[in-house]
Amino acid sequence: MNVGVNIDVLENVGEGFAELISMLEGAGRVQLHQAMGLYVQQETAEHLSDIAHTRHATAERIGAAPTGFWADAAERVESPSALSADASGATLTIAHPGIKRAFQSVTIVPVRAAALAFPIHEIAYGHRAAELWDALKLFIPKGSSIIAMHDASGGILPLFALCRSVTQEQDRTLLPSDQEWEDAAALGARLEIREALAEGGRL
Amino acid sequence: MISLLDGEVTGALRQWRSRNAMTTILGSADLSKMAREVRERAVFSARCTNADFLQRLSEVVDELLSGKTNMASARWELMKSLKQLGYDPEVGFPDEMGEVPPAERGSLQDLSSERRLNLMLETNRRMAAGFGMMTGGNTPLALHHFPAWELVRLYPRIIPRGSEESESPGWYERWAEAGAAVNFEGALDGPLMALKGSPIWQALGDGAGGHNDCLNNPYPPFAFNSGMGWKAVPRARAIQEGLLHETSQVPRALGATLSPGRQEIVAVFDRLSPALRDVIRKALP
Repeated sequence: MNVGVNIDVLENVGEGFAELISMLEGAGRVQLHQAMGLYVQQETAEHLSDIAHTRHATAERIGAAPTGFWADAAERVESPSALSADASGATLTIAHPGIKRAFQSVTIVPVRAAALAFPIHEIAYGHRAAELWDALKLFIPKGSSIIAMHDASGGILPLFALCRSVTQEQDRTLLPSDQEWEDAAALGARLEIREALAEGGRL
Repeated sequence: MISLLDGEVTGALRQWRSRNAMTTILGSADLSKMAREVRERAVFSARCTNADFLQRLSEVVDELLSGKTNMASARWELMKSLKQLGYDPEVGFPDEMGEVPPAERGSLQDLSSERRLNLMLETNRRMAAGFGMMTGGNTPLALHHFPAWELVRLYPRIIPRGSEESESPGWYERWAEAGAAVNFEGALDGPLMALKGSPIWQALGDGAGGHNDCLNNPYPPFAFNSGMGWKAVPRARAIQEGLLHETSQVPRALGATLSPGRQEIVAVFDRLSPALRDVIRKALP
């Protein structure tokens, strides 16, 4: 299922430009939507790239190396068919598991398992419990809701916490704000109009 | 109207789906010598001769690119596949008959090691993404508005190339070597920025300066395990940095080379009142 937001730039683009845009009907309208989409795409990629450098909360909390989750999202946004445009508008499609949370809260439930396993130790970070199960001789201590391994002294070292489901609250800051998107789209429109007028000898 | 969606299909994925699984006993240095055209059409991994495993790798990368799975689950799927196929790092796959030299368990040569699985998945996924960026970034409109790329750190690394612990040249050094190889044609000497059509990108991907960890592509990742990626540079900044000249924006003969889209924009502009045309001219960025 797709979720998303719509941005209308006519109110934001400035006097004169709005009139010109409203009068476009054919190839010019498509071209303008493509240009607006390009700037929205770049704004989004840069935003996600910034997040990739700053959001390592879970990794930092447990002393693990970041997985590059958001850098991956930034690269996906710049994929060519992530952006499409026609006379009715432009669409930027973001195919990444983390993006839905920008639009709505997400509840994760286990699939083909009784519980979810969340890493609570750097050894576990970025891994599924199943990957490490044999190699680290993992086990679930009786009566507990953790997955653990034995440490060098024979003690129990908790690696994962088990739970039935988890809800991640909506976090709109994962993507640019509506205003930032509107500004990016308006900039794309004004720049494309400038280029057209320059190329057409009207400046 | 601009819509932003959380969706499923990307350009990188389309490129990925045109690939074929390809078995090879070659190591990564040999693979880097293969023609780029062959590599762009193939899913491969150094020292892997098992077609079933490569097919599974192809499927898993496809799922990664679709956003249907994450790295940990992808790695787990490949580990299961290797186990089902009877892979043992010391003897390889059961039907290999010694074609591939034994690998130390847990090493990069061990197909089932976490490091190797990460490398296989990351390299194949990022190559598809990089190819997609190159394709999307070279449409006439994208080329006009964002004419250059900047090489930036995208993925964090604990020991990045160029750091003291890495004992390997960093990207500024490699950029200087690649730039020297192409006389910095369309590229800056210093900042890691160049026009999209500059030969420096291919030189960087070819390991100019004698680096043998490269993937021979003119798009990121330029080397195995590299966390560097592209950031598109807007036209105004490319001009400001000296990559383009203002003269490249000199108006052309009236209507002579305008695309149909720009022709309509100009025609509509001409229909506006003189007062409104002045407002637009004064407000242009």
